[in-house]
Amino acid sequence: MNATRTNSSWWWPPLIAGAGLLALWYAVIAIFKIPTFLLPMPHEVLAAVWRERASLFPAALHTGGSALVGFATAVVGGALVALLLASSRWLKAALYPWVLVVQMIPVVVLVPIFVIWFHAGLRSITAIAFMISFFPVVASTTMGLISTDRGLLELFTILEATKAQEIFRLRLPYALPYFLSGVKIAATLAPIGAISGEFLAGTTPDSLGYLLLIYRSDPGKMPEVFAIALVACLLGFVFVGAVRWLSWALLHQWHESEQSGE
Amino acid sequence: MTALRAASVAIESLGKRFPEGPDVLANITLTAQPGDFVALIGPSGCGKTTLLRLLAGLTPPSAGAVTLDGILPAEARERLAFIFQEPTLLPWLTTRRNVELPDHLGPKLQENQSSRGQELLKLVGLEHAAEQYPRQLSGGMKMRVSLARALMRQPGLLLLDEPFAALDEMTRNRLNEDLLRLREQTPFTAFFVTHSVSEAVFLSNRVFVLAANPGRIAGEIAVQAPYPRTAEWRESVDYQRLVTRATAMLRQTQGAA
Repeated sequence: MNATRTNSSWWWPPLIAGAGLLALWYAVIAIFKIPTFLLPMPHEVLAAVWRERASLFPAALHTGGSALVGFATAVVGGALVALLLASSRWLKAALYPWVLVVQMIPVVVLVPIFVIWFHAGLRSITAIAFMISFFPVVASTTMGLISTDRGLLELFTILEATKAQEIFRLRLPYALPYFLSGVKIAATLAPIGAISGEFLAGTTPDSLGYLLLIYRSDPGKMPEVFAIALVACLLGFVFVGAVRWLSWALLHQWHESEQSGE
Repeated sequence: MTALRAASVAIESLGKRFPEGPDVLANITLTAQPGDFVALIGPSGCGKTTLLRLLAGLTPPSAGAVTLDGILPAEARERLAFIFQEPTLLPWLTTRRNVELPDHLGPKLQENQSSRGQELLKLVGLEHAAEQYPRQLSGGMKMRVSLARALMRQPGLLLLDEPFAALDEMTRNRLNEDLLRLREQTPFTAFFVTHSVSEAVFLSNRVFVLAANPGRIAGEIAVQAPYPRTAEWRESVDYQRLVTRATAMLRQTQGAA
């Protein structure tokens, strides 16, 4: 296939749409005479990013660090729990609903609990990032592990595969695309979880959520609030981009989900 | 590794019923000599696939017994190979590694296997696709890979469950010819389930027509044309006559059911 053409047709539409949206943004502000404290103009947001760079970027690193640790723990822990759930029908029936119930607890409720349990620092934020990204990994990995193609299982039976061979040569690779789609969702949720946790706990200076708490209390700092939104987006892109790259690297040769699409 | 010998199969008063269900198969008795190519045709629900699964030891019989060279199928797995309706390839392995999969599975793996993978790929005409992944292959090519994989352990008994049903007629005919050509090189006894009368007659020396409710043998047609059979044989009067006869017998069983 023509790679160059695929690439250019991939890059141009979002750029054109982005330019269009920026123009619309300016136009709306000009036409309706919207003041900066309600909606700053794009260049004011960029200026705010630059002005606050000394606090924004260390904060982004902190938030990113908390999110990363929580995310990584959720990926490893989620995969292990999924292995456990998939290992027995009884265990899955018994435990899966409770995993779901835990997922239903709103972050707002988790924050004060975690602050008490883990003290006010980074650990409680990490725990929140973990909680929010744990379930998607468990759910999709379990699904992948229990939906192994029946024909392939019978093939392995006829080929006299041992239980270990069945797990490592069939069930795990078969579940890999499912696992990675769960990891993709977790990657988008972890930074959001971290920032929400920081904002709600209000106890971790040098973090994006904490800065947001400060900026939003000053009506003159609307561009700074938008600046945080921008930096948080960039942080999310780093997470999602890294996972997408990993997923592509592992799957593009053989799995439909990574074929010339997505 | 395994003896290069086709297996004999003895099926005695075999019956199968699933819990809470009617008899799927009742009182099937059939003996296949080494080298027999047995075709099983019959209406949907006559238990053809179940019979094949019993022969592979994938499901236990409810009555009677199946033996392969005198042993139970579940204990003679290294002597048999199964080709499913789907190609059942592992999508994350290349064509060659899919063919060689049997070498990497099993309780006792030998280290110094001189791999027949490349040779088998050549036999099925796919040596050029050795490093491609299944998604890059057409349906016919995937089935060839499945065929090559089945021959990897030089089975004495090959069980085929409508393997070419999803393919177009041209591809199906070519694969039928290839299957017979492969059998010239590696002798095996075959049980071939199909819906296609013409395919059954072309491939086998014994066509069994099954009837449904419960699944049972309604009749047998001997196909005496010598192997190797080629595409030209399809044009012969002899072949046409046998197809007509088998079709009539099949229609009769369906009328009775």
